[in-house]
Amino acid sequence: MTSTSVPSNLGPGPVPTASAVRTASRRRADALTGVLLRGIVAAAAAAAIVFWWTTTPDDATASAGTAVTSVAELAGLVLGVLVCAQVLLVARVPWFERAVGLDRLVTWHRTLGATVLLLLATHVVLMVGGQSLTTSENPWSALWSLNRAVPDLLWALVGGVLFLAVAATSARVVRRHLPYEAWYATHLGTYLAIYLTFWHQVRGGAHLFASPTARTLWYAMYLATAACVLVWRVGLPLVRQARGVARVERVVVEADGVTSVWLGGRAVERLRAQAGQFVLVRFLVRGHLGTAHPYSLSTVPDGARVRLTVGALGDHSGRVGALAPGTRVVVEGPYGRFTADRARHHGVLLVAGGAGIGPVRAVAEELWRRGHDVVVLHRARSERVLALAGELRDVPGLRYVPLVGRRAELGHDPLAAGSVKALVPDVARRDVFLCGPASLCRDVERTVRSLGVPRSAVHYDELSFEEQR
Amino acid sequence: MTGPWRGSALFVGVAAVIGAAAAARFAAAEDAAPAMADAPSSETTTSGSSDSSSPSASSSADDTDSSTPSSTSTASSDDSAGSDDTEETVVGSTSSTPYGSVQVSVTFKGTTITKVDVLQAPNDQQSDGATPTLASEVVEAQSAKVDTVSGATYTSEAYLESVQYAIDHR
Amino acid sequence: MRFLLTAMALPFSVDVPDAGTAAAAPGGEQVREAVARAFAVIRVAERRFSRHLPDSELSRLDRAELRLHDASPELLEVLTVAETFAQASGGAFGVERPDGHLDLDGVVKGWAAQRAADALAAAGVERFCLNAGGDVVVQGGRAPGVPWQVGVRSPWSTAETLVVLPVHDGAVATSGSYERGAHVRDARTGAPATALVSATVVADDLVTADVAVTTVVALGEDGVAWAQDELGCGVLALRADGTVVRSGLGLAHPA
Repeated sequence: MTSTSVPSNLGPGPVPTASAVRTASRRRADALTGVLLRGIVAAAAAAAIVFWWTTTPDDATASAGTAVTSVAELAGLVLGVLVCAQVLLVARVPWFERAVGLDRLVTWHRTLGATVLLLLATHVVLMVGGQSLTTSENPWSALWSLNRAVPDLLWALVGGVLFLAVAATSARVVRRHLPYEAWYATHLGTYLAIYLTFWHQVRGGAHLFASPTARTLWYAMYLATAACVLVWRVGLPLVRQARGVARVERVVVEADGVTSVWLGGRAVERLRAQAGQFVLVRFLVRGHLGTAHPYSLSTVPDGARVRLTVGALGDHSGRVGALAPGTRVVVEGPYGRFTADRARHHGVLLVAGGAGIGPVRAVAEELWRRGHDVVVLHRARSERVLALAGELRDVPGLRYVPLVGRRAELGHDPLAAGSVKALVPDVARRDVFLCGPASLCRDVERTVRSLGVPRSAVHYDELSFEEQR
Repeated sequence: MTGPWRGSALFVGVAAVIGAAAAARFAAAEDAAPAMADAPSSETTTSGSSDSSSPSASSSADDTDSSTPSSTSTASSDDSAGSDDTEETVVGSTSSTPYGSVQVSVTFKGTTITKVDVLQAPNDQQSDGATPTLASEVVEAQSAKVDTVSGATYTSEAYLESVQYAIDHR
Repeated sequence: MRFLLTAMALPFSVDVPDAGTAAAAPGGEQVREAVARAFAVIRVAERRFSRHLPDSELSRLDRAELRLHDASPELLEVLTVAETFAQASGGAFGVERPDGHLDLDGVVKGWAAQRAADALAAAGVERFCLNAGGDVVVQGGRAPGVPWQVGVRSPWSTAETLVVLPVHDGAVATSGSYERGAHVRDARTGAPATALVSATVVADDLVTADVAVTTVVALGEDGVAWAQDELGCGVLALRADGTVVRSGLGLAHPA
């Protein structure tokens, strides 16, 4: 394995680094923010329900049709609130990022996305159904009647179709086969869809129509959401970009399919990232321009430069090796909570698979510097893939265990419960950090849980490495 | 790790909450107004043959559509007794009405009207913008004696106190 | 001569000026006969369209005991008018109740009154003023060349007239929330229409005026322009704060 000499930050002895160390109270505050955020969304949805309750006339039960329509309107109101929440989750609001973490926010966004889609379908079906029942029409005719009576309904229908397209392209089965740019471009259609559907809500929505106060609040909710997006998703990155970009300093091929890219420059100096976090990187060169990729930092940031280690996982990552030094880069972040702060025990176990060695290496070093007892299990299919391994061997106080070889060749799974227990007998008393392909992380999590590690002691970055294209 | 069905599970939860809220609200509505009376407004009948006739109100004096736009052409009856579901369209002959020619085509399934189409309608386009002949000069104060009063339909008591009553009985 | 009928729980009054007294006016007997015919029209309409009479044509149609095949031309006519205006008002006007029953009250009063007025005219009465519970149809003027003075009732007092509209050959209908509450709902949304406390429409015929004024109240201020643009009517509307919106009318003189 050729490992070019990489300047290693591994100095002698445990030394607290310049990275900010969060206190336990800050951790609690973050947990609270997560709860608070979801609580506020739930409260807003509840407010919509209450509003619907008070503005539904008693004669809504006069017939099956009117009752169904009434329920459809309730679904619509809740839907409107959840759509705003959905956008807010990924508006890059710094408060949320710091407390909840981009990885978790994205996960929540995915979950809520499926919910929103199903709720949208419910709203449409019930609305058409209610109209059908009331006037004994067939659904097509009912839709046409609704269109006659509800202002801007036609636009809303177009918006609905757009939402459907966004959801369809985001489904895991579809997204895997879609180039990132195609998915992203479709996803941007969400904003248009929201705009198109907004007007039939305020101008044609029975409940909003009747209450100017509610209408005002509805406008306010959407405008506030739009403002967040404009400020933090669009504005701030543009400002940062204007203030200075980073540059590629060196590109190093570590091992088969694994490349390291060193970045330097003013933008990097300002990063103040912690070991294990990731950044969104956009190389300003043809072929990479359209995408901002999440790449993890594989060194403990020292203020001057950072290193990204990228596996050849997608159409872009494979071409990273061809980047020339001096290429300008837009760096956003840092994001992620896969950091040394999460360790509460003295003993820590880090399990890395494939390119996951990047962040694991950084966190391992940070933990080591903080005086933890560090064990690293590195799962790779062949020796050639043991990138960055050299940095971790021969570090006093840090135990590095390469687990090389395909399961078929070895005859067993080196990460099975028995093997792990043999390698790390006191695993139940350690914090476990996982980074690698989703399947590996899932399996290892199950394994260590079965060995007695509590859920709260297992840490991973929820943005699976499948995302790092 | 993220389960792939978390979104659907959340939806089921949300749907359950919505359903429960709706059921509770409708139950409360049923308690509040069991059978909507025809004329809740106080009206002592004068010598008339029927109890109340709603004023020029869209669709009803009391119970109204909550939110569904009414397609007025359907005369749907809740118990359309075992009607055959054949659809039939009847086109009426053109008839002259005081306000123009009318020709109607009516589609019904069994005994239920499903559609009324107006083929020829009176006053389709009053696009000449003509208003009825009005005197455009300001009427002299002395001759501004009221001949009749137009108002929203009176309740009986209001009628008795009204200017129109005085006019009718002079 | 003045005649009074109560039907549909409403006062119908007919005023025929100079009947039997002036040379150009119809004789008293002729007028009496004409008015009798007109009142008959109203009574027949009540029998046909009342939803409170179980064996009215409307009720029978509602219960599917009557097929539209066999419906009278009058019923078809009323349904047509209702449908036309439903389309014109963008759905704000409707004749179906949430419980599925037909309710033509909104159309029938004006339709019957207009028909009665037509019967009067057909019988040779050249100048008359018919008031059907607040809806007014006039033919000719009070005297040759002198328009009928149609007062508009003040929403805030039964005994006061707000404004007087001079009308010649036309119809005036008023609707508002001051008698029976906000009974007018925008059928598109179900919300009670409260922006206008009263609206008055002047049109060529009473059916148009009746339905238009209901739609104006349902649509709120937008309705004023709608009525003028779509139907060519003159409109006078009162906002809840007492200010007036009007369009398409001649000058009116406050009483």
